[in-house]
Amino acid sequence: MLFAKSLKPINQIPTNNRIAATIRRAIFTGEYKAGQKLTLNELETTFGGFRTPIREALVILESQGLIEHAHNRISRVAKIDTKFIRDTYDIREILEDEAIRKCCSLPDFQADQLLKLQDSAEKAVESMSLEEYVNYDLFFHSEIWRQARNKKLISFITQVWNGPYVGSDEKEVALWKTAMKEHRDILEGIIAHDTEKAQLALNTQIERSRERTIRAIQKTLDGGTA
Amino acid sequence: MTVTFETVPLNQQVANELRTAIMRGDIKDGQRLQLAELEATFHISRTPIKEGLMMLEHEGFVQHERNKDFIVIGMSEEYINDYYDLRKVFEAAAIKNACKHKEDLSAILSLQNSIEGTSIKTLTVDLFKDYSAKFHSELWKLSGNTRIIGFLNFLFEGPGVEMFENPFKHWEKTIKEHRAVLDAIQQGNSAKAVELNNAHQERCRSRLLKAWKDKQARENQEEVMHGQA
Repeated sequence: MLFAKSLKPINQIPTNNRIAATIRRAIFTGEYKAGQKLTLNELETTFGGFRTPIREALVILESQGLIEHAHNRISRVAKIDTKFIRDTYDIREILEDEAIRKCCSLPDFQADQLLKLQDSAEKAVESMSLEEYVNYDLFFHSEIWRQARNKKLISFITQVWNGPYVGSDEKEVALWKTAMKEHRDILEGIIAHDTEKAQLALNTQIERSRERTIRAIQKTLDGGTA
Repeated sequence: MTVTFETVPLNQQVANELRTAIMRGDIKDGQRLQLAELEATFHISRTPIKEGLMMLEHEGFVQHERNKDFIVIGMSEEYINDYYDLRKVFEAAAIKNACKHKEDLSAILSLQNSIEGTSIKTLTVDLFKDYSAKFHSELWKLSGNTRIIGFLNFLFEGPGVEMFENPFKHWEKTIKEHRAVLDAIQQGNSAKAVELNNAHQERCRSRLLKAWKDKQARENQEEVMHGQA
């Protein structure tokens, strides 16, 4: 599929961090529950090989307190609370706001590739798979971080990135459409050097994602104590 | 006063130590960092050293070569600018939160009172560095965001004060600027506090940029003279 092909040149987030982001998302939404065992073998099946980046992803997540190393090759999902999620999203918001501020101030922001991606994503939204959507979302955001040209910022965002809100494996086309509209606003804002417009669209998106994620983890936490 | 590292993970300590050494010029651009050598220096195992190096690689400080050695790329104007941009946005967020939720300021105020009660002539580099690190870590705590502290560990070492001669004037200014930021927070005036803190960061940025450029110029001159000899 041509659309998927256009998503190839992602190197902003290395494999280990992308795996970490996927596991982080699963923990945040309660798909991976507190105390659940994660074995290297199972993760290898889920992520199709890649033993070394999976190990590295586990080190990253462990240093962030999201998982605990149980013993050889087995990790356990740590118990996180809603404050942890709120704090993580707040950091992401601070950093992405800064990336957008910088992009808006650039005289030479490269919008062509993003516009092309945005056009084809909007056209393909009905037929997109979940994976394609997650990749599109990552490409969109990471292209803005890249052009903000602050390496430390990219390194920090990578550590809190959990991608878009994905409540289940089900497709949520309506939600994707809303997010795409926000992406369109961010892009138009940057092109017009309108920081306020671009940041407002981003903050709306993060706010929604944060609240949905918190509701999801709250449900798991309530379920756990009942 | 002593700086304690209790809460800083080993890999971040490695990254901080190396970063400071690179900034000070103890480790030169282009120098090769070998794992075995670093192991012998830090007396810790290979894993946190490797992780620390990977962090520096993300920051663009070192480059990983052929799955083995790390090569120092060094500090740049870009790095200094990136560093201060992030300090500004994180600290602005902390200040806004402190004003909005009327966070408890007693810890940061008592730190500030104690440095103001100390004669500037008796201050040493270590004492000032410790105060400055603590001031900013207390400021970050006011964000009410526990995860921010993890990022703070990457940033506060930052530019080494040892790069400068006669730092007394800078210390005096810094202490005054910190007080002004605190006053504005106490008044609940977050816009003013953010503005004052940004101005403080800008002053430190220009100072460091100038010192770094002077150092580069000196080194280039030495190289030229060495070449002629």
